[in-house]
Amino acid sequence: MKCIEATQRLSEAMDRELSLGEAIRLRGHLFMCDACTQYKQQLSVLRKAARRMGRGQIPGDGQPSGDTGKSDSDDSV
Amino acid sequence: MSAAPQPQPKSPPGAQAPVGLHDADFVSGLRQQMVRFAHLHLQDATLAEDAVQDALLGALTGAQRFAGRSALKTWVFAILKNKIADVLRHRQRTVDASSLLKEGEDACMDDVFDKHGHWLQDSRPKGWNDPDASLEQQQFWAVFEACLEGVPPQQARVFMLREFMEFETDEICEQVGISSANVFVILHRARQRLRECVDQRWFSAPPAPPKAARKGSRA
Repeated sequence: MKCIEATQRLSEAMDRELSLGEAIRLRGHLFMCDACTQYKQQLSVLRKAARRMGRGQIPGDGQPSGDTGKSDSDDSV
Repeated sequence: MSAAPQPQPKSPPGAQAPVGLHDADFVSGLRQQMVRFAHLHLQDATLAEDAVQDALLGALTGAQRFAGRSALKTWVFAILKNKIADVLRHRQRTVDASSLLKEGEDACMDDVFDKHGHWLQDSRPKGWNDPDASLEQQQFWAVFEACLEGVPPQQARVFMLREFMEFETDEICEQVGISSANVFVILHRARQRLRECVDQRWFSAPPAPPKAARKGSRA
């Protein structure tokens, strides 16, 4: 698998369940590719940030933020 | 407008301290955040104001008790998201999928890969230092919002439906009138762009680690 495909797959994994074949190929790629592994983590940071914003849990007004206690990422690959 | 009861999230059990909605400072801060959020989605100041007004009113009449301001905010935002979803539902639904995809193409980020489909040396993602700490900084959120604004509008809309409104893919297909394959491509492009922007403007921003370098409200 190439990085260009892996990044697309990593994004999709956040929106649908990958097929077993896709998931295995992706995992194999991530095992060898540090850049795509970073990419995966960064996508979950983006999700976490967006979901916090969507729940009104961003710092402001001098209050601490973020105790939603909900799982923000469900990107199971 | 009908005052039909919203599907509102329940307040956490065991809530003790009544909080917030009569605290003017808290409400005005909350209101500002809500207006920004609604405006991002609706792209219309009047509609955004209306949605926020409705949501706050709903929150007041729903008067429940919350364990803390944070729980209250989450609840008020959930009401706001319902309002926004209503507005979006009534809006013209379909867009031209091909123009939507084309929009992404102009902004195509595939130039971060070489001709074999692997990362170009300069574009390889490098680790982000302590992202959780960044999420606690107001300056980070300013960058995040600015980066969102840099995402082409239709892409941003799909991204926000997915990540802010937490719609599932099939709901987005219905709302926007495009196939799920298109949704996946668009979300991928939006994330690519957003990631790159946040990376450049925050995590890899030149003047050293952002925490130390940026002056802000907290000295």
